[in-house]
Amino acid sequence: MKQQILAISAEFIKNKHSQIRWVTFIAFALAPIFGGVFMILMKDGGYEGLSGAFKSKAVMFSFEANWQSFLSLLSQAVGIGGVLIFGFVASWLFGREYSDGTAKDLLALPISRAKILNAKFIYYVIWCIALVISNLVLGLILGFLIQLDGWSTTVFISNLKIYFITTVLIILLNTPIAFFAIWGKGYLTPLGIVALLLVLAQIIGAMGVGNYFPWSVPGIYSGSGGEELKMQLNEMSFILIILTGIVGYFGTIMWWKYSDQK
Amino acid sequence: MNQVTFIEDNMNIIQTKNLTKRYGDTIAVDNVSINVKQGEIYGFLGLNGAGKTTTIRLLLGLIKPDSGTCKLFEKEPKQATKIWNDVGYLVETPYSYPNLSVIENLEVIFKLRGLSDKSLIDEIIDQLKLTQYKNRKEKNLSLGNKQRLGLAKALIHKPKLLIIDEPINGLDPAGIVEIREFLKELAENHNTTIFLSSHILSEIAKLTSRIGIIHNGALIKEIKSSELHEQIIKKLCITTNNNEKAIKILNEKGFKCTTNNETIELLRDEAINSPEEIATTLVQHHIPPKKLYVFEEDLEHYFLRIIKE
Repeated sequence: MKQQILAISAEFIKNKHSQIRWVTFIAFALAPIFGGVFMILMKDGGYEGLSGAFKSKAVMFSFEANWQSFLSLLSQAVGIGGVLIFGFVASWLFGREYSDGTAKDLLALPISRAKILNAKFIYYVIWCIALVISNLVLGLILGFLIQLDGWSTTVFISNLKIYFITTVLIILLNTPIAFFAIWGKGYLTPLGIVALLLVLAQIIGAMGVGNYFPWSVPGIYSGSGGEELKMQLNEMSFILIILTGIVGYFGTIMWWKYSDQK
Repeated sequence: MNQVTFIEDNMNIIQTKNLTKRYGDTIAVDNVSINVKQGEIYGFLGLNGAGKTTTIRLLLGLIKPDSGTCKLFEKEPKQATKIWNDVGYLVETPYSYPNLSVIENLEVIFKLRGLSDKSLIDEIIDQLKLTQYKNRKEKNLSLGNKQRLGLAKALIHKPKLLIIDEPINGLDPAGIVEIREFLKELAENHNTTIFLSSHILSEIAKLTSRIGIIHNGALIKEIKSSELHEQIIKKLCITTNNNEKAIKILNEKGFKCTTNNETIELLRDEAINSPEEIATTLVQHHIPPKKLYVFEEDLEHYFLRIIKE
């Protein structure tokens, strides 16, 4: 346990001056900011205040300028944007050791390779949770500043549940990204895979079978595909995500433990 | 304090037996058997691509052999065992985290090695003369100082065995001398066993006690550095206007000669040690030498000759 804690603190030192952290926070914050703008426009003129894709989406999902719609938008941002941003975080954390050329320094030590990877997974989870908390706080501040209608503890708690379950689902889905980072020895391969998965998630989701494609499920669960699609989710949808997470985690550990590190 | 390995006298610190590694049809390391004793500085010499780094990776368990065995401190070097408390290493280019300072880079390795004595960081920074750069980010260091940082990471825990790949790459002449003296001091005063690879024989000859030459993956020669001088070709070379007659006269005087193009070559010590006698003899027979010099093969020529044989 002592070794594990030391490995986590080493991971904190490694990321001490990382500019990437702020890039991810700023990129992720775009969701509540644009969500806020969306709400302001709707508040003043209803659907007529919107134009183009915004208007179609608002009509399709019966969005209103209230807390329910705004909090739902925040969850949807995690469900879709999380695949990209969390995938970016995992790609960076696991791929950087190869891009920085430091991977070989981690492989012949008295600490196990699994503990070093666990430290990275833990740092990844902390980073992702910090991202969603920061978005939530920013969203709440904006919501109160805009003076949205319909605030109630019940609305907040029910949306909070969806928000954090969506977060957990996305966190689980990115363990294979960690695998691709160490398999591809850098962050380009996993970033390519993230882009591919994001596109596939949209296409498969739109085809109506996203409930069995793990990377589509969080988006659907967060409500981005509407209530009808969300109703299609079943136990298997979630089991597949858990299995993906487990396979990704153990695949990453096994690969580093047993494959040749050239 | 970390657990360390108990070392018996005359223990094989590194022992490989028929170590072999293939990549497809290419044999990167071919039946390499090496024994390195405690306190030895073993130089592993080879051209680029000869198999030096692959051998080092096998020693460190970064890759697995296709056949053969490898032991460190007479034990199989399994992952995450206490053996690694006694091993410091530097493979290929010494990279560190570019956005971290020298001290932060050392803190990372300090934690991963589970070290507890914080003074080790300052000590190694001081030993490798990095004090004035300790707060400088790695990306802003010179190549030589990056190399020093790599060595500092490998040595922070005072290992009993140091495995280093091309340790003088990127160093200026002053840096080369400094690192050479530092490594010598480690072996002499701290009984550290050092296994280092290089492609420059003249450099490792100054540092190592034994040299292994690897070529196309195979260990083709092992030699004590002290015996290296005896292996080097020395010959007396003479050019005259009448080489045929000169050879005849020298043969009559008991000097065995060979010819190489337009040059007469005498390989025996009695000729090499008395060029003035030979010159006098030739002059007395009216064949004054146009050229007469002792040729001594340099270490790089010796190395190239060995790998061509």
